[in-house]
Amino acid sequence: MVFWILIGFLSFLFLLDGTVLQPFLPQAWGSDFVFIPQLMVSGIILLSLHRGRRVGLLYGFFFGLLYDLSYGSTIGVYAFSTAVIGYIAGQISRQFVSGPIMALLTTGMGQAIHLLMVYSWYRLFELTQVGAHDAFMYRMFPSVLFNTVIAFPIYHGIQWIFRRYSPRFGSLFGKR
Amino acid sequence: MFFRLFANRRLFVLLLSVILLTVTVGMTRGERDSFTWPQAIVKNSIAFVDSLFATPVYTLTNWISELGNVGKYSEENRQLKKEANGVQQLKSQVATLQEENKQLKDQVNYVDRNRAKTITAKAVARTPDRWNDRIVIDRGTKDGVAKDMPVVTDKGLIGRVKAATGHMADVQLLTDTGSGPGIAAHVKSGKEESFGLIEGYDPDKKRLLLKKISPKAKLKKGQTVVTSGLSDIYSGDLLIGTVERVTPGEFGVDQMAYVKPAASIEHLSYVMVVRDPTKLQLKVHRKQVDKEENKGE
Repeated sequence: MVFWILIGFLSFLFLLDGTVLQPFLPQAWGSDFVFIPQLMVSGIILLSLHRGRRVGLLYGFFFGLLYDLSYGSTIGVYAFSTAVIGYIAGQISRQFVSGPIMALLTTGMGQAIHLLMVYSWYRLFELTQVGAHDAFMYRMFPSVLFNTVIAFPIYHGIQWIFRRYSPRFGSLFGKR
Repeated sequence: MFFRLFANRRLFVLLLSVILLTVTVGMTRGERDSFTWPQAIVKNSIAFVDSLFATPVYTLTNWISELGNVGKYSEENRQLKKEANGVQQLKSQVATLQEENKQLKDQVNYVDRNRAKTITAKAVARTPDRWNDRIVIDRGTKDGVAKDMPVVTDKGLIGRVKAATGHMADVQLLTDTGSGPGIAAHVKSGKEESFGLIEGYDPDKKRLLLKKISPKAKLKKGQTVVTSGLSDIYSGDLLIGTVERVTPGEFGVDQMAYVKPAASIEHLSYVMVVRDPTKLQLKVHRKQVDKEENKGE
């Protein structure tokens, strides 16, 4: 049950990224700053904090693959990066004490690594023409801030799902 | 020593997945004529769900932007009323000319059957990461959309169809031209036509780059740039933008112009795919010629 609800929740975030959020972001109104909405990645990170690195890795891989198939110019970059981020977040949950602040810090850091990783792969394979300075100042930096702020409701959403449907895994940074 | 590497399973898996990544990226990047069926199914279904999400959002955003524009509209209304008088006169003139044109065409038995048609589509999603500027539209090969067809809005050209499945298509926007083939364009400058290639986009100045223009061409600010009918993929005379600044080209023997795009690509809701029968026939013909040539060898 909780499995399907999580899939539904993450798919919902995935759809928000491409459709609903697009007209409301600054780049749609002519701004130089580009906010890259990655709610799905935030969801994967927070899920991984709850359920551990293996789950993070698997969910990350499948949702990354979904992204690659639907938007990406090639298959594999997002699948790889999102899986790695899920794994890293799971590792972090084993090393540090729990708490919502820590969760948000992890999300911010995970988003930064994810953006950097995808950008580097795209640059390496010449799939994007965006210059490095432009990418850091106008795209990654605002995107990390934006996604960290938006991660707060996602954090509550995921906690709610676990409390409601699977109290066994309810605690953040769960014991294994 | 070699077997020690296998002992560290995690490192091994990481290396293996990096290799796998390079292989899949190498195989799937670049121009592809069609998708594999699993990818087509995923793309179709996501585009369908996206379109369910997109419709209410567009209604909302349109409503918001209308609200902001009320003041502007009343001013515009006044001006339009002024212009309307002139338009009436023009209309009657056009009607006469059209009638005359039709008669003349009938006389030379000219059948205009290769007129380009447009297919209206809804932009259902845009790539969230703007590393590549693409949109997904909800019309596919079943509706007559094919790869490489130009996509326009009422203002002008915005891109081309990069790939299409049954019920959706990926549109590569002009701002992404760096990774696609250049667009053959010509500048309407009086009698002579100056040709050039739209190659790349300057994100700082927000201008398209029209390169490889002949040094003899005398371009001026404000001249319109349209697609060239000689191009294999774009049908002719689609408005791209206006010339803004002319500089010496990167090779020293040519000129380069900054072109201000006519259509705004920041916020797209409805777009039109231009289906030009002549270009389709050309494509089929090309394929046939290629086939025959290959057979001979």
